[in-house]
Amino acid sequence: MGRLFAIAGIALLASMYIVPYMFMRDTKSWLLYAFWLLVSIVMLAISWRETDSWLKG
Amino acid sequence: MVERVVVSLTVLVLYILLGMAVAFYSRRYLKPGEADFYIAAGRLGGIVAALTYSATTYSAFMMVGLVGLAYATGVGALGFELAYYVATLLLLVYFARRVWERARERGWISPAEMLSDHYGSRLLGALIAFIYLIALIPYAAIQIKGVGELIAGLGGGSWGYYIAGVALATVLIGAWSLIAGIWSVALTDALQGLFMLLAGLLYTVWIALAVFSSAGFSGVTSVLGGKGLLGLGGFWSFQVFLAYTIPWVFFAAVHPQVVQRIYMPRDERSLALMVRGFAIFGLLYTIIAVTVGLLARAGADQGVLPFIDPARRDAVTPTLLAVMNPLLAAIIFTSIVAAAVTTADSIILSLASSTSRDLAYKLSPERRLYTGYIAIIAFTLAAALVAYTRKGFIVDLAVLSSLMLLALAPATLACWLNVKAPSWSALSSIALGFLATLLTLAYYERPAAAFLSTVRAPGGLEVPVSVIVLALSTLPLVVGLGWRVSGRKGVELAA
Repeated sequence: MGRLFAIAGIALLASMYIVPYMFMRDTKSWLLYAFWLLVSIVMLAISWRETDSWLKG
Repeated sequence: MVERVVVSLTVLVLYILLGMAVAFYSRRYLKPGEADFYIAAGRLGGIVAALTYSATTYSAFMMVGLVGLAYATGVGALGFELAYYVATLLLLVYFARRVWERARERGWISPAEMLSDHYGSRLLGALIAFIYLIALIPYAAIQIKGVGELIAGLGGGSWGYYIAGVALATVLIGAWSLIAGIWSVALTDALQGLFMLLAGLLYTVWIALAVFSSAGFSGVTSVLGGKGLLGLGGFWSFQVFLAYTIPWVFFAAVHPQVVQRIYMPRDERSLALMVRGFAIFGLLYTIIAVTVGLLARAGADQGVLPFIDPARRDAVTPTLLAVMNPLLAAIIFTSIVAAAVTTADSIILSLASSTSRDLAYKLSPERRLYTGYIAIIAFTLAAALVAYTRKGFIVDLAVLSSLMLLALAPATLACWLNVKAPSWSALSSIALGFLATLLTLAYYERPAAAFLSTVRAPGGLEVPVSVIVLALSTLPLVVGLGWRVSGRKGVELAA
C-alpha cells in the first residue's frame, strides 16, 4: 500500500507541473484553477485512505 | 478612521488576553524536563497536533504574501502553494509514521538530533543547528515585520505604530514560548488556527459578495482571463514556477518547527488525525488566500475595489482592510497577527531546542534547559532586531529561508528511508548545498534575484538555483553510499 501511495503521490505532484505547461498555459477560463484543485482533492482522498490503518494503532 | 483603529485594537487586545489565558492554563500540562518542554514528551492529542501543525506551517505569508502574489501574478500562485500542499501530504503520509516511531524509540527531541543520531555524528547536529539559525532568524523576523506593518497600517504607515507592532509581536512570541514551552505554543496555536480559518472564510465571503454582485462570475472570468491571470503567461514561466516551488516541496522535511511536530502526537491515531487535520486546513486555507487575491484583482480592475499597483503586492490585504466593515477588518487583521505569532513562536522554540540539545549537548539536562530559556529570549530579540530594519519583500524572504534549508533535504530523505550513508558524506552534502546557497546570495543584491536566478545548462536549458543546490547536496551522499557499498564488497572479497 505504502509504495503504491508514494507512486500515486509522485505522479500527482508531477502532473501539477507537466499538464499545465503542456496544455493549459494560455487558458482564459478557470480550467487551470480547477485542475490544480482537483489534483489536490485526489491527494487528500488517497492520503485519508492511506492513514486509515493508523487509526487502528 | 478612529473607529476602525479602536475596533481593531479592541479585538487585538481580546485576542491577547485570551491567548495569555490559554498559555497560562497550559502550564498545568507541563512536566519537568526537556522532552516535555520541547515536544510535550509525545503526549499531544490529535486535534491539537493538527491545529499546531497547520498554524505553524501557514504564516502571515498566506493572507499577506500569497493574496498579493495571486493578485499580481494570477492563478500560478495557486499551483505554487498547492504543489507544496501535495508534496507535504506525500511526505507526511509516507514517512511520518516511521519518523514518529523512531523518534520515540531513539528519544529524539530536537529536529537536528534525528540526523546526528542517524548518521552517528554530533558535528552534523551542530552544523544543522547553525544552519537553522542562519535560515530561520530572518523567517521569524518576517513574521514580526508582518505584525509591525499591519499595525503601522492603522496609523497610516507611521514608524511609531510599526515599532509598537514589532514590540507587541516580540512580547507575544517570547512569552508564549517561555510560559510552558510547547504546551503554551501548541494550545495557543490551536486557538489561533481556528481563528485563522474562520477569519479567512469571512474574508472570502466578503470579497466574493463585493465582486460577484457587481461583476458576476462571467465578468470576473473575462477580466482575469483578459489579463492572462488565469493562465501561465507572463510571470509564471516554467523556470520561475520551479524556482518558487522546489524549496517549498521539501518544506515538511527541512523546516525544524514542522519536523519536530511529527514527534509530538501521543499515539498513531493522534498522528493520523494530525495529518488529516492538516490536509483539510491546508487545502481550505490555500483556496481562501488565492481566491481572495484573484477576486481582489478582478474587483480592482472593474473599479469595485481600490486598485493597488501589482508592484506593491504586499499592500493588497492592508488596503482591503481599510475599506471593509471595521469589525470584519479587525477580525482578519487579528487573524494575520495570530498567523505570524504561531509560526514565529514555533520557530523560536525549535531553534532553542536545537541550540540546547545540539550545540550545548555537553551540559547537564538542567543547564541545557536554562540554555534553552536564554536562547528563546536571545533569538526572539534577534528576530525583532532584523524586523526593526523594515526591509525586504515578505514572499521573497520566506522562500529564501526554504532555499537555505534545501541543503538538508537529501540527507533527511535518506534518513527517513533509513539509508545509512557515512557521516562524512552527510556532512559534505549539507555543507556543500548550504555553501552554494550562500554564494548565490552573495552574488545577487536582492534575495528575490537569488532564488529566481537560473544557470544555463548544456543544451541551453535554464536551471533554477534551487535545483543546483539540490543536485550538489545529493552528490556527496551518492558518493558516500557508493564508497560504503564498494567497501563492503572489498571486505567480503577479502573474507
